[in-house]
Amino acid sequence: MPQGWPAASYENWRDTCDTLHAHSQVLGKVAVRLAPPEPQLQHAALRLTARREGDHYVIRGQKIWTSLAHKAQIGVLVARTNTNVPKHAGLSQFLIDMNSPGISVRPIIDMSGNENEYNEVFFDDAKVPADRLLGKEGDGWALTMAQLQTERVALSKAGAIWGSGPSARDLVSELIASGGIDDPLIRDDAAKLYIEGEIVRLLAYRSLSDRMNAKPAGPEAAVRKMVAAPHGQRIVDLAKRVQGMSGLITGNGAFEPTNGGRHMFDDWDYAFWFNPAVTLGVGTQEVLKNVIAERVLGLPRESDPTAKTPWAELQKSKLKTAV
Amino acid sequence: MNFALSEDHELLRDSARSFLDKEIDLAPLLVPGATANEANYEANWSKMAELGWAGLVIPEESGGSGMTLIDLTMVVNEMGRTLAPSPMLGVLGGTWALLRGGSTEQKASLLSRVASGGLKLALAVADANGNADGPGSDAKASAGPTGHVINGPKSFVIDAAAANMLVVAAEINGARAWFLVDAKQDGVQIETLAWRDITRQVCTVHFRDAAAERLDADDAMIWPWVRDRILLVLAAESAAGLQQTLAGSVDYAKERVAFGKPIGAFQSIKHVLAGMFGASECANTAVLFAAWALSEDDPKASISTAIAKAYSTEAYVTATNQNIQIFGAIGFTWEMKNHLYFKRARANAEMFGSPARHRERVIEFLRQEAA
Repeated sequence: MPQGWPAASYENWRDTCDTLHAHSQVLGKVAVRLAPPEPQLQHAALRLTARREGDHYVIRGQKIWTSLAHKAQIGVLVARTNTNVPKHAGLSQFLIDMNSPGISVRPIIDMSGNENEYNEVFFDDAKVPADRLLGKEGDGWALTMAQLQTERVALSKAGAIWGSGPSARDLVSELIASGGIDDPLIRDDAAKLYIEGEIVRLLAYRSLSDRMNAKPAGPEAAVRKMVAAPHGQRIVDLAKRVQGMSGLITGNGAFEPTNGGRHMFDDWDYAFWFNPAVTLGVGTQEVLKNVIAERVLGLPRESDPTAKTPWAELQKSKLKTAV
Repeated sequence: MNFALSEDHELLRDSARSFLDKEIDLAPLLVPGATANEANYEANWSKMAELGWAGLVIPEESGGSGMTLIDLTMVVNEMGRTLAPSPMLGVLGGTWALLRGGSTEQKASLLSRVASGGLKLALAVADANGNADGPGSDAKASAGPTGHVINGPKSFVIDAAAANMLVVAAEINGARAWFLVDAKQDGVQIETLAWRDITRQVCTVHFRDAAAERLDADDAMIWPWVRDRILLVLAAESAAGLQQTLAGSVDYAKERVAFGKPIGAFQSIKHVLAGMFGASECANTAVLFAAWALSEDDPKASISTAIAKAYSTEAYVTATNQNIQIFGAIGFTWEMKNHLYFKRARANAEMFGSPARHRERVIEFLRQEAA
């Protein structure tokens, strides 16, 4: 067992992978699933490959938008293990030691200008022991979809930045305390946000209640994120509007950070400049709406003419087009 | 709380649904000039009363079925979904005022008659400016030699023309108090309004020395309690109406073909419908929580009904606009049902306080909490 790897068996890690993944943001020590570098983060289209060589897989390629990879010891990697089957079928997941030779991490400086959340990760023939495959070869797509539902639920709490930042309750108490609520141009919007926030909280209880009554998790994860993400954006947007011109001074938040400022997401100013990411990450608003329209409401699905073509052939035709 | 509906709730909802699906026919309203009366407003009520719906909220010892507000929500949801024309809302409002404010004798003599469907009540609380919250009233009461009399108008009285008895908020000695008034006496004149929402009956009532019998409790005891329940009913009707609006929009988007495919294949339509689904989930959740909070007399009951009313009625208005947009020009015609939902949504939003008014109340609650 390599150094730095937690003192638990790989089997245990496999069993608890779902849980681990769901809590990865909280723990801050485990990178969330490594997203592929293609536009729109389409996992099915990813190009990073894992090639079996004896008792190892050799990983080559690149990942992007990996949360906290610069702090993580363990990564969850989705790689293409078979290029001769249609794109959804050839994926597998691995647990990887982020300190292995051949893995390098480069920070992405996002538009907030703060310390990075995200990274690019490069794999230059990095070796992964074969027993760190999660499930079987080819299970990658199914695992990723299951994890994505969990992640959407986890990131649909009532508040800014996927529920990790200030909430509408925080906003309204600050506005009441500061007298900002007396401005009629602010008050009705604040009330709308408070109402939405309470409903987003109730939606979470409702999902929990369903789980406790053994109803399976459905596409409601997409619904909750569709509702919660823009709600969170509007909270910190209103806080900025309350500030007017002075809100444009870097680092100048409308109110004192929540939770005593333990995390940068508690900062009202940071939360505002982070805002555009919230309807992009974990499924863009547009993709979520497609998911709801197609899987919940049963509207016609977008057709993908490449869904059944072996991945390797798709790459050839792409090359031809490029030439 | 447990958000999952119990089997009893689901059974109640399903039986209400199958009854209303069979009995409610909105087709007579799709002729210009029609009113709720043409859609079996009275006959529907007789059938509902046979099912015991007249006494849903009346305790068993007074001849009702003593159901909880969550039970009631199951039935009201279905009425909102089908726009069932009937004097249900008027009867509910009157019943609650009587339950909350009536003396033991008043309740003993009236409640069992209400529960049997024989006595129809209506609640005369709003004034000409639309305000139902007092403290004054356009109608004034005074003590006469043989009891109280009422003079002046009450406005926007739901189901007044169908009612045998009105429960009236009138001003006496500078404060508002509540009275029982026989609707069929000479001193009561009822004028049915040309109300845009033709699935309902809404009236102005004129009182001229109308004999009235005072309820025991004062306004502060009666109105906030009754108002919370009426707001729940309007929110529940709206949440379910919104769900029906969504269902109708989705069905149409699958059927209607343009540019060689169903319009529901276009993302411009899909995304509107996904948003409507989100709003529908939110509205239903807010309504269920308000029903639960009121049933349990939870400290959050009043703010929760304000939240449910503000959110659900506004979301219903938005959805019915989007619904007509998705249907296109056919949805703008009188022969389609779309406008019935559009008008019900609009009316529910304005009745007993607009969404913005209830948002203002939410802020007031929070200010009091913070103080």
